[in-house]
Amino acid sequence: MTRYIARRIVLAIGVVAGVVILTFLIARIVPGDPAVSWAGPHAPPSQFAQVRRELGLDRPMVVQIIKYFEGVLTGHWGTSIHTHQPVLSDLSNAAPASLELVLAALLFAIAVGVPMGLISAARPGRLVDHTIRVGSIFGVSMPIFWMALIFQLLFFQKLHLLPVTGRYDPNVAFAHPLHAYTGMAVIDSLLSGNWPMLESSLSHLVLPALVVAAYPAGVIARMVRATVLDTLGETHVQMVRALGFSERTVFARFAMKLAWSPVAAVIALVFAYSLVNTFLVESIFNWPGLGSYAAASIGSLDTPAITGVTLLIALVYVFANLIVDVVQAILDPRIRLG
Amino acid sequence: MTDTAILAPSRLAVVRGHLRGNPLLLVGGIVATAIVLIALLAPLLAPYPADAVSATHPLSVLLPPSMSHWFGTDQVGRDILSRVLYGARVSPLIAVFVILISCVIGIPLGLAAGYFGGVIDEVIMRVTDVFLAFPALLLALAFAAVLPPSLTSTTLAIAIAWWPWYTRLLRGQAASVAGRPYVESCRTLGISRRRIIFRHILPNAITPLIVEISLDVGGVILTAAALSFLGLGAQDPTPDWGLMVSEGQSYFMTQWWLVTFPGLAILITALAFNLLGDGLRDVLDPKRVVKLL
Amino acid sequence: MSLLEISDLRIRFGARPVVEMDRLEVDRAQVVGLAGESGSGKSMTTLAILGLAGTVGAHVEGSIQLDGQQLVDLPQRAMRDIRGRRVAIIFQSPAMAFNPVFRVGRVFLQALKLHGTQSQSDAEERAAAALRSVFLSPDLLHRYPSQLSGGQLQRISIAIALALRCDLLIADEPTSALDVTVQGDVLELLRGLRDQKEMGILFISHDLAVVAELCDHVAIMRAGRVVEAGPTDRVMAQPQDAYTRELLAAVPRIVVTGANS
Repeated sequence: MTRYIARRIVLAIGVVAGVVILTFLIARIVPGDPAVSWAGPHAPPSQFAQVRRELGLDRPMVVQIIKYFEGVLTGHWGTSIHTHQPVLSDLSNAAPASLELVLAALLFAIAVGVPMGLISAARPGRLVDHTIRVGSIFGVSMPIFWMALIFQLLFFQKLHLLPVTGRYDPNVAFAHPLHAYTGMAVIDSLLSGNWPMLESSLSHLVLPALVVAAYPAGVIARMVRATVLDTLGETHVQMVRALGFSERTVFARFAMKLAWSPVAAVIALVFAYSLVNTFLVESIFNWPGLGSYAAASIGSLDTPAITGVTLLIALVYVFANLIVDVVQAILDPRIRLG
Repeated sequence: MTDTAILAPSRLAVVRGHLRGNPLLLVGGIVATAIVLIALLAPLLAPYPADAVSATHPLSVLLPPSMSHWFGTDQVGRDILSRVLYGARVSPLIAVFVILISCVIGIPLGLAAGYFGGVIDEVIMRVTDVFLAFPALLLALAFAAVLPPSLTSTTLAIAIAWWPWYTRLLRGQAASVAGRPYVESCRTLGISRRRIIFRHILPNAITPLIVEISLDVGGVILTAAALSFLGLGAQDPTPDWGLMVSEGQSYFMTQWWLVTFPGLAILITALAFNLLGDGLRDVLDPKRVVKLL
Repeated sequence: MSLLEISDLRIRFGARPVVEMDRLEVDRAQVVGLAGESGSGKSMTTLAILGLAGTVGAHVEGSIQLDGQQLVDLPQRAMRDIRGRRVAIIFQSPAMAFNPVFRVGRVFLQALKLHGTQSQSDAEERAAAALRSVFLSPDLLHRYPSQLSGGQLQRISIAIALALRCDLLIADEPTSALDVTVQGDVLELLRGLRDQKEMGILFISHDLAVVAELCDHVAIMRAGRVVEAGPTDRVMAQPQDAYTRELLAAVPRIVVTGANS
């Protein structure tokens, strides 16, 4: 078991090194002189040489890569051009909001996707199966920036049901200041018993989370359906049927345990993909997370910030996959013993 | 009475059986074909073809849907229906080029890795792993963000994110065939490597490749739309759906038609190709678990 | 009255017939072989006996009687009493027959408790005793299927049938996936079930040599029909049907040449 984990960690470290190098290369292919964009359009040319030296752009490529590595490992991820703050501190300010959004979305997605997948697998070929399958393909085909706008229009403009900007009502926040334990409004309100803030932050969370949940819900439903159907056809399921267990027990006790495996397999992927999807919806909902930061950076061609966000999410993805690998090894003895 | 009580059903009956049992494939196929037709016939179908190019009509800005403008007009007075119809040319075109480039890069790499094995395999697969360590949209975004915004940049950026999938697929195919005993005997008989690759490996790999491509089209279309929405893709006045949604954002609350119709077009297109891909997968390669994006 | 009596059994997929069996009988303390090529309908017959033909989408008509009780169209609830209590099955691929994420003992003990064993310790004792009868150590119950060999898993399947005290055992190609050396052990155990426990065994196989060794009676199946049936000695020595003769001719015989005879 430990050997398996050790092997996985070593592989992950190798991938991380490659990720850092690739991110560096992406930043370097910006056409034009980075020194110029850093110094600004009004700076005199004499400053460029100085800026170039400051940014280390006059060194050979290999040295630049090593310096970049050093920077990444020591927490110096550059300075954002549009906020003038260190990128890493921008990221850590923005991260909790996105984390909250993605976690809420994944909760929705699992709560909807798993049962749908199971129902679909329990009645293959029937109308309910076809409906659920179309529904999941819908979720996977949805352009979520459009879904966000439509939801805004429907739920806010037309129906006046739910708020659509920000993480909570600023008036409520003023009257009942929220102590920041985790940076996630819902959890913080729960922890401090701040009910008005809890209500405000929850109601603001619903729409964005639903929008981000569309894609993972579709993926999870399809994975669960496919895996359970595969499992139900296997000999060991016939065996327990032949031993006299009812179909319900066969499904619930023996087949369902294998339904969690595809969810586990896919959770790292949908987590990272949802993080990236926030780029498309956060600005629309005025949600101050990584997505808004990234969208603003893209809009202002803020290369250090873009690089920083890319690097962060890639690292999160590698890490998440590592965790999933370990969890799967725990759940499925074949992996760690094989 | 015939010799065997069980007769094998004919090929055609098998296909018909699949179609009947797979209404999704049918629907997906029909809509996808319709979209391709629309793209080809756009100049004939669009009521105001010039609006899709450079025409502006300052006197008819932001008109709601009506008999003369089924989808209304946008912020510079262009007919949205015409622009949506012409937009059908943009997305599938991007998809075609992305997949083409990804295949050109990915297939030879995958073949080499799977067939030669050893160090070549290790090196290629490690590089592939690094690219795959990024969510596809993220990698495409990062590249598109640092390149000057245009259709070409978008296509290139998405292709850079997409080629690893094909490398992985082809490597698996090549490795499994290369390991078979009959390939060994081919080698001892002196048959050249190239023949083995072209005569034995590639034909087997075609079917999974087709399945993979068909499952990818929808994803590429969505990725391209996302990049355009962020301003990284085609620029005005190109009638790109993502761009149209982005441009319509500021007017959206009161002039809902600016955003609704282009976005609906994206949804329907992605849906159609995803249904088609799923259906093809069911028919050609049912063992395969869903493709994840 | 035989333990198992099948008459006029018709199984079809939609409109396509897969089995048309006029007659098949298995008695207590008897091994009846059902021999034939792959695809001849042997496995479908076993599913029909267990009432599981519906799980693969097949439709069953005709008569399958267990000690006089009609099994065809029996409601699922009553059928579940029969499965595991009166009829047991062992599968061709022992590695696939056990759920990979559970320890082997888990299904074993749960099956025992399903069919009447009251306490956990009683169940464990019965399982342990059954494993000993198949010459396996009871602590194999704590292993995962991936940790055991095909032969061991197959013997555990037999042990389950033993512990549940079934009357009829359906053995679906039980030795096809095993090494020749292990095959002998399994066949020996099956003989023990017939002689000491007086079980009736329906032995499915495509391997006529194995059938000849173990079975008292044999029925040859081809394309869903029984083309010949009778005592094994007679069928092997004087095959009436052309197909039977073909099958027999295909069995390789080891001819001892002069140098060693």
